[in-house]
Amino acid sequence: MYTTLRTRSRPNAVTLIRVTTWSATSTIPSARNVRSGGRIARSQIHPHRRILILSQSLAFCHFDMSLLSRLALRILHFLYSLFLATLSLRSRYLRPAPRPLTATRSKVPSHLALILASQEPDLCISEAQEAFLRCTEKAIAYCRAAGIQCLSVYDRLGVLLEVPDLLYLDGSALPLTLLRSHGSNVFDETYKEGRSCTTTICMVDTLRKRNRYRSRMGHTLHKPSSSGAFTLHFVSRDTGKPAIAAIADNFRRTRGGKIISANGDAEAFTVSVSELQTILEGDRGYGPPPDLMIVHNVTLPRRQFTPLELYSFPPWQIRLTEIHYNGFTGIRDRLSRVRLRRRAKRWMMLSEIDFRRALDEYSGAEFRLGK
Amino acid sequence: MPLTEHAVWLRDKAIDRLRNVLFGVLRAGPIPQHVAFIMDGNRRYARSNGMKLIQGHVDGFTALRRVLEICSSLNIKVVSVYAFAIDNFQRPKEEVDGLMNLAERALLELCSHGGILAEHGVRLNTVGRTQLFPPEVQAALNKAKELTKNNKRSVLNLCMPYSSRDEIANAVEESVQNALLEGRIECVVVHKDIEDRLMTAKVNTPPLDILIRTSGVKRLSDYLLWQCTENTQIHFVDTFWPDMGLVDLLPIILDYQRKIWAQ
Repeated sequence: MYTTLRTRSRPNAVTLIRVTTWSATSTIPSARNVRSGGRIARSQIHPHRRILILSQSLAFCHFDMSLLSRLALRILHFLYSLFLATLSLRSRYLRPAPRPLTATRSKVPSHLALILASQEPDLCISEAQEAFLRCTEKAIAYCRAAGIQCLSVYDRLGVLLEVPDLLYLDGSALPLTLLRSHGSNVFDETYKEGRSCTTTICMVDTLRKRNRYRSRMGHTLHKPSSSGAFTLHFVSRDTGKPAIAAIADNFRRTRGGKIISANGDAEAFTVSVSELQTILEGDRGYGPPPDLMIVHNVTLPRRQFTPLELYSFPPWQIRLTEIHYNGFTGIRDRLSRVRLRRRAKRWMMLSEIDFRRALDEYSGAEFRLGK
Repeated sequence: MPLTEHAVWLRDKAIDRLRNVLFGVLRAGPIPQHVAFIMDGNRRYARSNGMKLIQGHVDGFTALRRVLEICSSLNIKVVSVYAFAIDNFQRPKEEVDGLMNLAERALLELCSHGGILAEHGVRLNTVGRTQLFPPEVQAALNKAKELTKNNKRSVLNLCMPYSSRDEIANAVEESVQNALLEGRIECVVVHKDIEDRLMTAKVNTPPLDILIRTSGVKRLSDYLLWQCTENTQIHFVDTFWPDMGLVDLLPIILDYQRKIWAQ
């Protein structure tokens, strides 16, 4: 194949040069006259053709090295998979068992947050609600057994915001009285457009009689509930960044309006960290901040190890929250995913072992607060 | 050259060559744009090795240089490090003064001719309330920024002294001031307005891909709270910061590549 080349020094002259088409298996051609079958001296090769041959050689080398690097990267990832499989087995079978739920610990969180995470982009809300509710019920049972008085359950899609009529605890249906529901809990009274960000339920003391927790081993444990009600928050994405923006907009209309009407400078408006904290974490907000957070994958992850992410959880409240997460997916679970490919989704319930391990880690954590 | 020295030289050369090959292999896959580090564990490292606390911080600075070299070799565009928290001013005065002196010396070393920032074309940004620092440290920071302002290959965000809540409150304040200056009734503040006024956004930092905290602590401690709750992989590594190296970063990069390939 021939193409034309015009140079700056001779823009009107046309030089015909031969272009060679490369493939991955082609070799770098020597400067050979194909018709005559003999070699051409390097000095007889046109300079432009020499540049073309050189650039094509470099392109071929680059292509070759790029292919080699990608292949080496795949091999590296395969070796990493083997390494992860070893770590997964070690974390599952070789770690010492965590202490029982009711064991005495040096510290127990007063507020626990549970993120129900899903890796599935096309999650069906109605199917998910059932699974998320079952996880919530387990979490409530574990919390009450461990003496935790406040639980927040979060999912990015807001599946749980429609409060169910019944929760099941210890095999019994428990009608809930909605004692406190925050429709616009982070906003000032003057803010008219309330939005449901967080739903809070206080469980009445009738639970005291029902506070029997049947452990995984089948033993029935009797433990008196702690004094005071157990509080359950259903938290959504709107409790986070959109709520902070709504507060800012509320400032604009109320305090900012007063500054402007008094002919003040816009820069006279200031807000402090403590003021925002009072609004976001106070009685009308989402607070107190969680002491411990457990991130739980409700749907079977696709990968054998999924690193921790926070799925748009409200950022302000987790400044000092201890985070517990187990990212490994067991081999049996991954094989079941393959078997269930065409059938109903498999849901991963929150396990008691992971919950106990989270409590053990929390009780051993040291808080220095910058010091 | 004696045989042992020759062997050591050969070993170091071989290790360097292998590292370069490894970097080349990793660069064949997706590389994160922005990685942040909470450099935790300097004091516990010093105590466990029987050193003075300030030596732990000195070794921490060496680890920072090492990690910057690795990130530069991998073509990571932005590295953010939590160098000093606003709460850290509560530490004993002797330690705070020692840290200020170290910061001044370290900044001048980083940005000097032949220093690591010049060598790898790294531009330095500061993120935080630098007016809380002593004048000498502020001057060193300004000089460092001036010396590196024309570097284009990558960026180092030194978060010092920094607090994420302070950053968010400041962004809320500026969003409201901006809306008041606009003067229109329908100028509603939305969360993107706050996001655009965060200190990291003002230095054109891309979204956070990976956040790494060393020393086994599993908290965010008021660092990049707004940025890390959205599509960021968070890794809590048991290694103390002064011991941080390629061995700890390699699985983190591989995890990121798996996430991108799975999308």
